[in-house]
Amino acid sequence: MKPLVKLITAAVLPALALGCATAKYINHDGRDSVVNVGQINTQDWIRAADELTQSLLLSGALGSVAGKPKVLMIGRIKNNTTQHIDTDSLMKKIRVALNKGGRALTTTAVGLDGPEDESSKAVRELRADDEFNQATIPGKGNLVSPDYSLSGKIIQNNARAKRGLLPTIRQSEFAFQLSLTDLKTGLAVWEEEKLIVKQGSRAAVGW
Amino acid sequence: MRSVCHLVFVLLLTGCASYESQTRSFRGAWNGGSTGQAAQIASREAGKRSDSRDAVVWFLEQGAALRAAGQFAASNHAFEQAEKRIAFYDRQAKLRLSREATGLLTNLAALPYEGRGYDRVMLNTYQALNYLQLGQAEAALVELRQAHAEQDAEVVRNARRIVAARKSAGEYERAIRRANLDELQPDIALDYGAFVNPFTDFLHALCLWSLAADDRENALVSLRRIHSTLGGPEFLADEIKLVDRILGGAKHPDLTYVIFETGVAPIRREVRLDVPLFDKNVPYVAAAFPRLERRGNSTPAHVAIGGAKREATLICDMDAVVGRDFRTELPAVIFRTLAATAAKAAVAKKVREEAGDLGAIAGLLYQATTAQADLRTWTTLPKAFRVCRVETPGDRKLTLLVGPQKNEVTVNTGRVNVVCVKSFAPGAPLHIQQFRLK
Repeated sequence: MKPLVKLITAAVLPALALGCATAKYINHDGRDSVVNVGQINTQDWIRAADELTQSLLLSGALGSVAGKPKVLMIGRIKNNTTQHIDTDSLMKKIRVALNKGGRALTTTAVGLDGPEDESSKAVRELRADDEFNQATIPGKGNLVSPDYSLSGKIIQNNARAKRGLLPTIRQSEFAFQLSLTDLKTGLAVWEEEKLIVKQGSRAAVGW
Repeated sequence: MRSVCHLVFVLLLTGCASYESQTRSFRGAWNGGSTGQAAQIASREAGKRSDSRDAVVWFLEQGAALRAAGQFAASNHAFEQAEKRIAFYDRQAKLRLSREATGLLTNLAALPYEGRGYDRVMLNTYQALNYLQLGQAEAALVELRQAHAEQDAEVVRNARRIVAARKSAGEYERAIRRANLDELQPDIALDYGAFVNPFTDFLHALCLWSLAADDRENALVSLRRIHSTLGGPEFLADEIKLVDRILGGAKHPDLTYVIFETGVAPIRREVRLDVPLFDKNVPYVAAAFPRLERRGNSTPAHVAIGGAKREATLICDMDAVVGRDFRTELPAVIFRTLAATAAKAAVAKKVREEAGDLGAIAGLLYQATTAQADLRTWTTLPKAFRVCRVETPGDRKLTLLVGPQKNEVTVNTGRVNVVCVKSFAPGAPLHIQQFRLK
């Protein structure tokens, strides 16, 4: 009987283990997402971007004239955290919201270290190429200079505390700071900071 | 009689030369700076052993030797073979306990070499350098991101290894816990943390700020981390200031980074120790363990332009990286070795009781031949990585000095260039390669 029990156990246990290892789609709004105390998770990017965009739109700093959207360039977003993060996750969400709202357009032809998209420049280099119909190539003076630049910083502060026999509590605070600078005057016409603070008893994952 | 036959079968499984003796001619060629010959030997051995338990370590040797010989695409192919094998072993992790059982009856060298923590990081780092040399910047960044992820993943894998080793120790677990084997602990001058390789982080930072279209700010995160890990060297403080200015849009002069890979990493030697287990059946065991042995001394390196000489900063002491990994993996090695030795002693005792004198001889033979430490290690890794940054001079000529050896190089045109200098044993010629980042 004993070998039979072993055999059944050996057959059933892997099946149970496989049963637990299923993949599924979840809502990305945060309720079902993984939460890491020491990291910026997807839902944190979404929350920070939503709140910063709302603040920018409500401030009136991007006041458009006769419904004409303002032009933004993306400046430097400093990463002052202790981890490698993709700051584009924040900026892209803000850019998409501003673009959809018709309040601002982002130029990809100007950037601190050259254009974000080299295509505007590349297409102009065809001006001397006879193989191309020159009437279809953009003429000089069509590129639009930005009105504003959006720059910022992401800061991380960690703290931990031990209370009696309870496990050590770890806390991570992420500050998302953004500034909108009027490029004519060099003045910051809007500034905002959004904090996301997370606590947990371990560095591990929670839901 | 049946038990004697079983022992003979196990002996047939294990009777192989140690890695130290397998690699003797290869190491001779490598240490003498004959990279072409070393690449030939490694390619031959890797081909012969591509389906064996030593495949990964030989693919790693082959990749490093081909890289040093300037065959970058072939080198990456060898590294990819190693990577595929490692991924295969990772997928098989659930079968680890059955493999532990093989180790219990034979020795740890009879188990497949799955790639140590620093192997995995260095494998991606060398692949990245090869891609940079081949002008494939995006592929290089992918490798460096993988290396970064490997450093974290290995911490988890090592914890799993220790748990598996404890389980495999079974009835001897408590006895082994009491065993004091401090003499196996390597002497580490620097501690970067588990599975951390500051050179990989430095190269990642350099590629991020000079090559990447986004994530460039992450270069500063890496540089700050290395700066703090290495105790705040002046070179890195300057580098942080420079990169901060460049990311802020400041122009910079043409720069050349000279990476010196000097010397050779430690190898593993076997040491036999008598360890009391205080078990009624197996009171003590004589077991074979690996011990790290450093090779050669650290050599300073300099870059001279005209009369001015600048010393390269030690970014990564590979002796420390290998030593730290060795120390982290040591609990699992001790558990597995002592459990295996105790299990074998128990088997030999049973055979002696069942088969008399013949059994006693077979048992002794079995214990003697299967008591072999796992000495496999990537021998072509360097002893140290040093880096020096200079403004590229007008005539683009640099003099590179490693100890008493001296070479001149004319740097490519470009805003950011990298020159890789590899030194071997004293007297062997320096190997110089270069590529343009920007």
